[in-house]
Amino acid sequence: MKRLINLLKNNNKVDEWKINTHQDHSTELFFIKEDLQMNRAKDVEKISVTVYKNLEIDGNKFKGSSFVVINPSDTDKEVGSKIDKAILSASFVKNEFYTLPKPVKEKAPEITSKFSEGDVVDTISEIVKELYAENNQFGAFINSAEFFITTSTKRIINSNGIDVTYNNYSGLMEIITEIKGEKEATELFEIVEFSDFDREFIKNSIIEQLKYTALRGKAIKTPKLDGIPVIISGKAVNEFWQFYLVRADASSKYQKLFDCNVGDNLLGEDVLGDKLTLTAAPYVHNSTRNSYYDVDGLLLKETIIIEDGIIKNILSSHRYSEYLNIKPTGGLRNTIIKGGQFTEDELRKDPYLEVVSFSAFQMDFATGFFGGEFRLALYHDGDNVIPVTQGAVTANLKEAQKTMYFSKETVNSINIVTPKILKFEKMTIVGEN
Amino acid sequence: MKSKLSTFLIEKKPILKSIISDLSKEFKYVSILGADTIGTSYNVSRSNTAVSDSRLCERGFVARVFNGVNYSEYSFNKLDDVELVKQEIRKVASGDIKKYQAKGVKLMAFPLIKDDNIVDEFHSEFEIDPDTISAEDKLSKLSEIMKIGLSKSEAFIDFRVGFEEVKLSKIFLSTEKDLSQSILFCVSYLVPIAKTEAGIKYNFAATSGLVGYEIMDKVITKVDNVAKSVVDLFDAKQVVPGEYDIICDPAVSGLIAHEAFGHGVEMDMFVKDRAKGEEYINEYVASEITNMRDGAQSGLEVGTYLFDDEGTIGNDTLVIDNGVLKCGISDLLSALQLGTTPTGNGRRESYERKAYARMTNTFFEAGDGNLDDMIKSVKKGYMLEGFFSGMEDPKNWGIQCVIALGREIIDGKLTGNVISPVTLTGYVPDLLKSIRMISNTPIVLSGSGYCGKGHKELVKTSTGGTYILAKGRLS
Repeated sequence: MKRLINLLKNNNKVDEWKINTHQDHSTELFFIKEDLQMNRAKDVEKISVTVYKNLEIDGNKFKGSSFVVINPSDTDKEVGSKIDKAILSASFVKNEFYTLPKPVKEKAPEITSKFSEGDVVDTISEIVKELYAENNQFGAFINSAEFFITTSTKRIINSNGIDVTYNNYSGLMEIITEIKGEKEATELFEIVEFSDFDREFIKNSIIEQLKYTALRGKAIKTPKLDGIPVIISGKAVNEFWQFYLVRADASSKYQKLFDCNVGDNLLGEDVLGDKLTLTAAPYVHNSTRNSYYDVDGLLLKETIIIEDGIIKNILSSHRYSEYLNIKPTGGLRNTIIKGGQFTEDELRKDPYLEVVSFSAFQMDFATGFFGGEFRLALYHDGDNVIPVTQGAVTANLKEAQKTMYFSKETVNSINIVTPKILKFEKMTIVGEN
Repeated sequence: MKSKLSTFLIEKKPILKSIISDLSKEFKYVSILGADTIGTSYNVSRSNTAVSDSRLCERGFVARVFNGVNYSEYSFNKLDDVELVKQEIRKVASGDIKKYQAKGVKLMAFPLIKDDNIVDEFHSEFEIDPDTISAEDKLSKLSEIMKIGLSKSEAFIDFRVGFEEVKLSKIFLSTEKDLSQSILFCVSYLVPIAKTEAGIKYNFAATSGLVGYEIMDKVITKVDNVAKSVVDLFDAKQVVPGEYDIICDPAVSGLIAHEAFGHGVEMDMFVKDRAKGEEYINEYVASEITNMRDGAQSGLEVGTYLFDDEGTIGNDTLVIDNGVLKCGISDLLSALQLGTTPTGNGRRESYERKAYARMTNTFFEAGDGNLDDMIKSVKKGYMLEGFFSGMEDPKNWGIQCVIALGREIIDGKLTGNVISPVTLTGYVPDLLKSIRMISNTPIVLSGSGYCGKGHKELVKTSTGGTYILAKGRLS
């Protein structure tokens, strides 16, 4: 690292610079049914350098930058050549001027995980054991599964004196569950992400997936269903919040995609449902995106972005905060959504359709259209719960948010603390004609 | 001109061969894939200019070893301590395996890989080396295109233009094989963004190929069409959900081929009993006029190569022959397990990831239909143009394609009305068996995007074909 820093410091064409490094170690297992098909491990170091060139043309200040990958095996000559090429490119980039962040005295809390304790081979074996201990329930079973545990040490250094290091932990399971039917077998696919070894979380994840797989095995084609509310649960719920985040984002505002300001109401006045309160956070339990620093080395703090539908703070990197003359929040990567006024049980009033698994949920943050084909939904007709498949639900969030309700109960999912279910009074349901 | 192999890989070959030689005394099979990809991405928009290394840049190695029962792999990117590398490979293939077995993990048995003795190399050809064009000239060109694009409508708030040059070098070494390849491809994107009373509207047009900077000549020709497509979206209506006659442009027909019987015949899914296609080999899965291919040698696009990431020579595979499903596409380990011949489709997202059966260049072959006749034959339907995403369901043969826009056809004529957003869903055989015309226009392949397996493992693939006329469910 000293070698690289010296090369940057000694290059008089480079005005400012930033180095991001991470050293990753991963342990990976790939199972078919209950047998191990392959084991893998990875040890890699990655280094990227951003060089900056400050320019002044006709009294106007600009900043150019260029990002380049440095390999651990690069010689000094190769690194020097890459930096020269990058700074030459940066000199042709004329973006509005901004400064790089400076160091602060405050230190970030340390992020810990059981993934850093002992031999990771033992830890991943325990996770496999926990998962397979719940196999073969409701008539469904695990078809195949992949397990990844990655521990990373990340460091950010810049020419202003920032030099911060932190650890990141990431666990991922790709699980395919199957049920044999009379005519054909059906499956469900799920990716589960976590950053610590939580037995209950793993157990609950697989039990729920096996239960839904069994229901998909019994599912009939979606009948024509009109005028009933739609409940969305599972991973798709995570996708809604980006629609609001992008509107409260400094880079979107700077690019004139959206022109939202602090104090603006993102939901409109005629909202009958729950009002959104969204907090961006550096840390939430079991998130794989936990970090108290953003990519520029800016120290991150939990910040309310939207409260009761009103923008309280604009989410902003250091660069865009200077452009808009606002306080930077930094690139916070976790989101906490406050639960709604009603409990899950109160929202589940028959009849309704609950979509639990989409083929590929679509949320167009620009237009607001969302939905897609579902692999499994549960039609609660008032008397029975009927699993249905091969249908689709669609709506535009700009309209649908007027009658959008969040459950009071929240769940941790990847990098989001989110209401367990969302209920929409009006959505288009596509079933059999 | 021909693309040149990375000097780094050439220099490291003797060390890698010594690792293979040493470890081969302990393990019956040892191979190493080396990758060195360089590339730069240039992007301009109204408020920002960016130059950065391509996300595909990588330099590293993956060793595969037969551990006595099946295969273990170790990915690394430092070669300064060769003994440490060998030690780590031994740990993964021997020490870790013993630990897993002691904890009750049962290993799935695989046959030993029997490599043929092959020494070969491939260098892709191009006209203009992107390295000979300065960053200043590239950015000026992109800015010029952006300005032309912005002038097409006052509603455009941005017209993003991107250009990416990628030169990948790979070597594959085992006791029997010594393969190398160097491939240059370029990709360019045009993304007009408009703001209207109805909100933000956008679309994209991509150009790609195993070409050099000469690609920019094609890019400029696409500005008018992509700008018009966004202007057409200003008055777009939502489709009334239902089943319609659909004419799919080459991009959409390629997406259908990719999602329907690309993912559906990836043979690692056969090993897992996850693909319905396995039961339908030699059965009709599409109309009799339908032929579909996939292969590293099927076309000249971003999915083209000499050998895959397991050292198997790439192929040209006829997947659907006159409507009949003939065979799947396979990685090496799945072929070993199934007792079939690998088709050279074992691909990795990078040297850091596992190899899976993946697509390369996938498309429907041209037919003998005429596009005008297709339009005339539609009483009520839509011409579907461009796409944003697709999703496969190999086990249950569902398909979802998110289409950029649809142009209404009534009584054999385009009415000028546009629908958007529009999603094509359905049951794959129903969709493919409904294909009743395929155009005789030239096959158009595009490698603009990335293909995932499930929701990860992104690799560059190309898709395309010609125009197809079928029946599809739109919502």
